[in-house]
Order: sequence, then structure tokens, then C-alpha cells
Amino acid sequence: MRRLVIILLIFGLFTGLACSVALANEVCYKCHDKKNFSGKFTHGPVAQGKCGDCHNPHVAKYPGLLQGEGATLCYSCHKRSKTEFAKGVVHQPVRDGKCLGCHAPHAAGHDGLLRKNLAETCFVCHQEMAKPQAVSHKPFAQGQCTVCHQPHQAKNDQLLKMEADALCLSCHQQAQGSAGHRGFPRKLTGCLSCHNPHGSSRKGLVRQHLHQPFAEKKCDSCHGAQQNTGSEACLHCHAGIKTTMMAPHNHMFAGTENGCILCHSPHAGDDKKILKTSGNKVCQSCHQDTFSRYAQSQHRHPKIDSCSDCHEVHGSDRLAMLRDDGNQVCSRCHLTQGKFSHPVGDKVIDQRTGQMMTCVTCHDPMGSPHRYHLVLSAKRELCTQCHRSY
Amino acid sequence: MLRKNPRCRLGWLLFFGMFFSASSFVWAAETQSPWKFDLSLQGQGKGMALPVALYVDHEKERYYVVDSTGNKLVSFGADGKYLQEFTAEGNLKKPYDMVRLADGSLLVVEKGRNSLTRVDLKNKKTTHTVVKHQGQEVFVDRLEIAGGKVYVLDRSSGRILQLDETLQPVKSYAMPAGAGWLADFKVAEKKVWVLDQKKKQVYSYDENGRPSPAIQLTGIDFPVSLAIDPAGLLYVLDRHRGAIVAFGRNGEVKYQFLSKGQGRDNLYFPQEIRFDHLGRLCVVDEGNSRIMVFKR
Repeated sequence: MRRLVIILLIFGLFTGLACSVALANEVCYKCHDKKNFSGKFTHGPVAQGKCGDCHNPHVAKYPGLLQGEGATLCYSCHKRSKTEFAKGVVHQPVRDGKCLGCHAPHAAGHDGLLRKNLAETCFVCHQEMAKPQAVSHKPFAQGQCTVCHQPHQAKNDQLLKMEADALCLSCHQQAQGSAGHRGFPRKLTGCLSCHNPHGSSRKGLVRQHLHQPFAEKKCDSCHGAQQNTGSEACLHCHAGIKTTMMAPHNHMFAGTENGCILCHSPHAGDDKKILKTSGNKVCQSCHQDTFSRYAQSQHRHPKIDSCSDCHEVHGSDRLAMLRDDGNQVCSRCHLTQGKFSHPVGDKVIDQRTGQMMTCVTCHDPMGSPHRYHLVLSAKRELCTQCHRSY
Repeated sequence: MLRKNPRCRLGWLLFFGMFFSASSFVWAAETQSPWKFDLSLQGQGKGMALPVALYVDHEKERYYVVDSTGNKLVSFGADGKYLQEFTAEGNLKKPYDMVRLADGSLLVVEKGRNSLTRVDLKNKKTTHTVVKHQGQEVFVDRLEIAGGKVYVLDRSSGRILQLDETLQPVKSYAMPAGAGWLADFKVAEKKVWVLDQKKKQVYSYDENGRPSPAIQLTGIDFPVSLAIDPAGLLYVLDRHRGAIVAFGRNGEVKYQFLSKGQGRDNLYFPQEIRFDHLGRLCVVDEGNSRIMVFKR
């Protein structure tokens, strides 16, 4: 009896599968060219002809007659991924639910249903990485990004598979005794403060711009026994920066280490400011919430090159560490605004705060659900904040 | 059984109805904020430019607001009425925090001078002190007074320092290994409570400097200030979301209230929270140039 049930179940399963394949063959592929849904690697439901797992054949809320939106649909089957991908440092497309940024939904020529080969997939967004370098790290030159990085989420910054030093030393065990590190007083640490893990014009992948004491091999000027610790270690030379940090809102912070080296490398960097990583990514490492809000907002200011175009990086007397007041910052680009639009400036007072009206009184450049990235709907809500009898 | 016996079916329906009503009541009790708007402190004339700190004088039942951009201290009575402004004859340079000492003089953090400035109001005398610890300049940020002892947050070293009467450090509270950076601290229940903005954790130390296990905060974007409720909760101010989140002492979220904006139930780039002498929760709402006071 038990055997009979098992046989019937298996039979039913095969019949169901055959029927669904037949359904796709007979119905969907009558119009949709089957060639577009097959490749070296095919998505399970497509291979089984279960088009209906993702699409509704008649009517749907979402484009492509999809049953759900973005990652929500993917997670309806990939349930474990939903939990896993919410932990630690999360890759931006994953955080934004854009699985299809990297993966093809039906079929692809690359493992993991990647749209292109691994490196090409990464370079779609990380375009600056694609530039050829005089000296390249071998895994990078071979397009093996996942040797060091996790594609979805990781416990470590930069989506590294391990803590940075441990990751470097897992391959470069001989580095401790190498000629370049002769005289290093302790176990090697902070590899990335001197080396670019992808490529450089310098031998040994040493980063392009060197901190002057490092270039002059004057290690004692910072590391001497009698030297300052914390941010003072840097500020006793960089007195101008110290002055800018003497502001109500500033980026001087230290926990158990020197706060300056949260953004700057003390030895070498890829730009003149010897930042740890490229401009905005330095900001993102702490202001993840702002970057996420910007990415997810329906209406936002068009992308600008650098956060420091509008914000001070060391210290400011102004809200949100703006470079200037909420009018001057905007009018450097928006030359005509304020002249023919709603009056702004020091003669126009926001009655709610007693402060002058500025562009950011009504607009939130970092993103909003309202048109023109207004802080409230322009239909009525925004205006009646001040014009109550309107 | 349910199908056959209508009485039984009715009984089950009643049971489920009561169960769900009770659950939703408990849920609502747990998630609803008890805080209601009480009053707002705003300056006179041009008001306050960018208030960054509030000191509550429990003895005199007065509020002192530090207006950093206006380079002034603004005082308010217990009823929230504006009293007066103090600028030290135009000599305050980017004040950031303040307390009143036992002798009646004011101790003001001046960011523009990196000074802890003592203002002797009776004798109209101002003394600037650049605090040093272990030979290095201290970048004083937040300032607290409790039990007659003065505490400061040093932004440079990431430590809380206890100062003596001459403003020399006599005790240092170092943060645990791997800590991020400190945004705020409060002294309450004979403990120093410290908010780690990067790690989103709260550390606490007893009078002997012994740490308690860190409290991990969740559901918060950009914590800038904390307040310790004698009733058992821990309040954390989220600057970017304009919200206050109430946590249990184990870090569990109890409820949250307020949101980003310019209205009565909104905050815009708020900077600090603290309790006043009546147990009301006060918020320094920097972006809206006001102090919001909430009562339960």
C-alpha cells in the first residue's frame, strides 16, 4: 500500500512537471521566442516551464506582468537569501532590491545567471575599476573579484570576505619578511593604508600619493614614543584643519583610534588628500543611511560628483555641515533661482523658525517622495505650512 | 466537530475574538508613545539661530539654551517664558554646551576657542581654559555636571573625563576595544552612560569605572543623543529621522515617536535630548530653532 502511494506521488510529480513544461511550450512560447529563454545556464522555473511562478498571464500590477516587484518576487523562492542579505554590510543593488542589475531572470551564459562574466558585471557600476593600471593585482587582472569580495553581503567593509589584513595575509604569508617591510616593528597590519588592492602605477601596488613623512621615511615623526595620540597626532602638523574643526558641527571623532584615519590613510592614498577610498565612498562608510535614502527616493537632486561640493568635510557652523547657507550653496549652480521663484534670503523669514527662507526650507536634495524633491506635497500641504489662510 | 455543533463553533469564535482583542491591546500598549507635546521654548526677536544644547537648572527650575550660531545663551523660566539672553558682551565664540557650577558661575564649552570657559556672573569675569590630558589638548564636546563633579567628552581621544575644580582631568573613562566614536553621554543612576554613534551601542560605567555589558541599539539611523529615564527606559535621538526611540535596558525597542519635519510632532536635525526637573523630555530641535518639551 505504502509503495503504491510513493509510486503515485512520483508519477504525479512527473506528470505535473511534464504538464507545466507542456503549458509553457504550448502557450507562452507560441508568441515568445523560446531561444530567448534558454542558455548555458537556465533559471529553474524557466527550465521547468513554470512561467506562472513569476508572471501572471492575464493581468498584473507590475511591468512584465510580474507577480511581485523587484527582490520581493525573487525572495518568494529564495527565502534564505532574504534573511542572509539583510545582515552586515550589504551591496547596494541588493539593498535596493535590484537583483536583476546583475542576474538575468531567464537564462544566461554565465554561472549564477550573471548577465555578463563576473568582472564585466561588476564594472557595469564600478566603471572606474575598469581603467587599465600599470601594475595589477593578479586576481583582479584575472577578473576574479569574488576572491576577495562577497557579491551580496559581508561582515566586513567593502564587502570583503575577511577582515582586510587577514584577507591579504591569507595569500601573502611571506609579506612579513619581505624587503619592503624590513624594519616594520610588529606584525603586519593596515595593508590597505599603503597598497591598492586592485592596481597602481607604483611597484608593489603602493598607492599613488604618499604622505610626506612616509615618503621621506620619517616614521618617527608620527610613531615616535613621545608623539601625540588620537587626532592630535595629525593636528599638531595640520593646524589649518584643526581650526576648521573648531566648529559646532565637525568630523573630529575618536573612539579607540585616531579619528582622522577613519577617512585618510596615514601613509598613502589614491588622491592628493590621501583618502582611504574614493571620495563619496569615504562618506558612505558612515553615512550609509543618507546614501540609502538617496538611492531609494523617488525624487532627488541629480547625482553630483562629490558630497564636498555642498558639504564641508571637517567642520561647519551650519546645519548638515553645509559649505554655505541654504541659498548660497544652491545658487552656485541654480543661478536664476530665488530671483523669479518664491522669495528667499535674509529678508524673508520662515515664521515657523524665525530663520531666513532658503532653498532647503522647501527642498530636500537628498531625496523625498514628492516632486522636485520637495519636503511636502506642493499641492497644498507644503504651502499651508506658512500660508495658513491659503 | 466545529461543523456539526453550532454552539461549539460560536464558542471558538468568541475565544479567538477575545484572544486577538487582548493581543492587540497589549501590542498597542507596548508600541504607543505616552509622550505629548507640552511647550516649546523659542527666543525673542530673531529667536535662536541654531540651538545645540540645553542645560536644565534643577535648583532654580530654569532652562538655559546654548545657541551656537547666535553666540549666546538664552534662559527660560519653568513655564517656558523667555527670560534673557547672555553673550558675555559679545565675547562668546561658538558656544556648544554649558552647566552652572555650585558657586553660581557658568561653565561654557566654546568650540571657537576649544575652551572650557568659566563665566563669573557676579564679578563679570571670564576665564578661558584649554583642558589638557596626559599632555595633549582635549577637544571638549559635551559637558555634564552631576553630584558637583564636572564631566566632559573629549572628541580627540574619544574618552569621558572627570575634571576637578581647576578643570584638570582626575579620572578617565576609556571606551572598550573596537568602539566607534562617541556622540553624547549622560550621568545618571551613579553611572556614566555613553552613546557610540558608529557602533550604535550604549556603554555604561559605574563610579569606579567598571563597565557594564554594552547595549546594542537597533532600528536607528544616526544616533546623536541619549537620555536615561529613571522609570527604566533609555531614549535615543535619531538626528536624520527626526525621531526618538525608546529602548529597554537590554536594547529592545519599546516604541518610537516624532518624525522629520517642521510641525509640532516633527524634528529637523535635532541635536540633544534630556529630562527636565519635572521629568519632562526636552529636545533641542536645532533645525527648527526651538526646544520642544514633551510630558507623559
